Amino acid sequence: MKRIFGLALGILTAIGGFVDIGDLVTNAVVGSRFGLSLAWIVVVGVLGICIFAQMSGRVAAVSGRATFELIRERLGPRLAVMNLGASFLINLMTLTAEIGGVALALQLVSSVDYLLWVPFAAIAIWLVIWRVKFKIMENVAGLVGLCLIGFAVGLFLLGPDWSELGRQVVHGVSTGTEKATTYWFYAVALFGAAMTPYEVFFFSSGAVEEGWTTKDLSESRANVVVGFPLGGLLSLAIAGCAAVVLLPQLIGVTALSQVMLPVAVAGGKLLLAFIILGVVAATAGAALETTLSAGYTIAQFLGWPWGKFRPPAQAARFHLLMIICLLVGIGTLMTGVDPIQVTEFSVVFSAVALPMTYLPILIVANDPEYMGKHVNGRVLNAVALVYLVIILAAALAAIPLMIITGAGQ
Amino acid sequence: MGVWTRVAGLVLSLVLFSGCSQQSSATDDLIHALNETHSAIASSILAIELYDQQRSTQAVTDTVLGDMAKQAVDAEGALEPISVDSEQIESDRDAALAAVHAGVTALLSSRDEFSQHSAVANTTGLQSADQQVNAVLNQLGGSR
Repeated sequence: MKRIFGLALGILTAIGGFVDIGDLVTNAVVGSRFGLSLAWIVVVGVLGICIFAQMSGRVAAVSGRATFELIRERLGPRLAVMNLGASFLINLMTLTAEIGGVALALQLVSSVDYLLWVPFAAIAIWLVIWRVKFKIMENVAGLVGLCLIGFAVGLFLLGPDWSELGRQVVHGVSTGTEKATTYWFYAVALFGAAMTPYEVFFFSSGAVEEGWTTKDLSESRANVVVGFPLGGLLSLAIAGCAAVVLLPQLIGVTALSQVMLPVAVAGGKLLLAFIILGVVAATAGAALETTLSAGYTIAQFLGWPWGKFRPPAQAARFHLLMIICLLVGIGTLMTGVDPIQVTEFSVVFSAVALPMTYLPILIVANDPEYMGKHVNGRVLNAVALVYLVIILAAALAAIPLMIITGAGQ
Repeated sequence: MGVWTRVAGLVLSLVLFSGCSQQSSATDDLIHALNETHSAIASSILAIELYDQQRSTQAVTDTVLGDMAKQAVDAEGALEPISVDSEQIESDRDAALAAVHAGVTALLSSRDEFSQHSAVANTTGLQSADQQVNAVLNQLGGSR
């Protein structure tokens, strides 16, 4: 019974923790401009993150060590530093976007300008990391983040023409002035949002924090294989709500506040309150994960003591690094840069960094010295290789598409 | 020449090529600003209607109106530097500027009215500005 409860809890937190500010904004933007015509890329992205997250979780459970430690040891410091540099910078950008997301969500509750919320949000994140146990932190953020199921409820309450939505998925939407390059720019952005590197680092480091062993492999696989696709459905529901309410009125999403309009149309104040609570939890949860991931990546690479399972005094550099990253995030946002733009750039640059993140994981997962009999099977390797080709294509296309389209304008 | 140097050269060439080919025309810029303004006005009208129907909160409505006013102001600012190299473009730009300015005025007054009285008496100002924006958009052939 305890095992079933643990499994259910893991799956629920995986669903609630899947959506972050990148998914929220990108899916709403895409829904309001292209309807559900990019739903296929969400499916591709979710399948990709499932493959590599379970792989990195397995590496951590079998070896008892986290991704970056093994990457440095297996590939050597020169190649590993490229992986570290790309992953850390993207993670820092994502962290900034998530703090901005928390602040924007709090503005929706209070009317107080988001800039005033930024320092409070960052301090709250630091306090949680400092004082709250890993398991509690992860479960509370994930479970409260489940309020985002309100988007799926909202989509049903809107009573859309399902055949029209199905037609959008299959045939796309005639959008007049939207160009093919803009469509592909958002395809890359959605792919980057679904496969954000920090999710994998957090998943593998979390496995070490929680002391996973090979006995936990089936549970961790179930969390990923069931939880992430259901989280992906939430992403599609966000796009669906925007497609039903905003697209027909030619409203293009540029602000988080606009994402709330379809929800209010569908379910009024009650659903709106649920969704805002879910947005606060999802962005705060992702901010916690990205802050920890910032510490994990550098500390694991440099061989410093790391982890919330250690008292802060025993992992002082790990905690100091996280404080510095939070300060950088605050400083960036306080310049007045639009958090939504930071989010859009972070998901595109995530796509650029994906090969440097996922190729080393694939290499380590195939090394019998670390994995023993738990190395990747042939089928998994074949699928992962196909994904590496897709990832490489997305990485090469991301910056040219960003320049051609003026970042999707 | 190493593989990495070649890859870097290829990426740089792609970036430069795409950078050179991205010179959007003045008309595209006008259409973009008008679409942004229409989107801002339509969002604000929807937010006000939802608040009037008691389906949305004061904070959400206030935030939407503030965000959309800022978006329209930015759209107006983006029109200023557009270079004019023909009479047709100049005439289009003037029409777009007038329409976007009407949108900005309506959005700012709605935002201020809402923040002072927690209500907007009517949305006719916004609707009229939206019609003006849509008329120019249709003239430029850029409505989505």
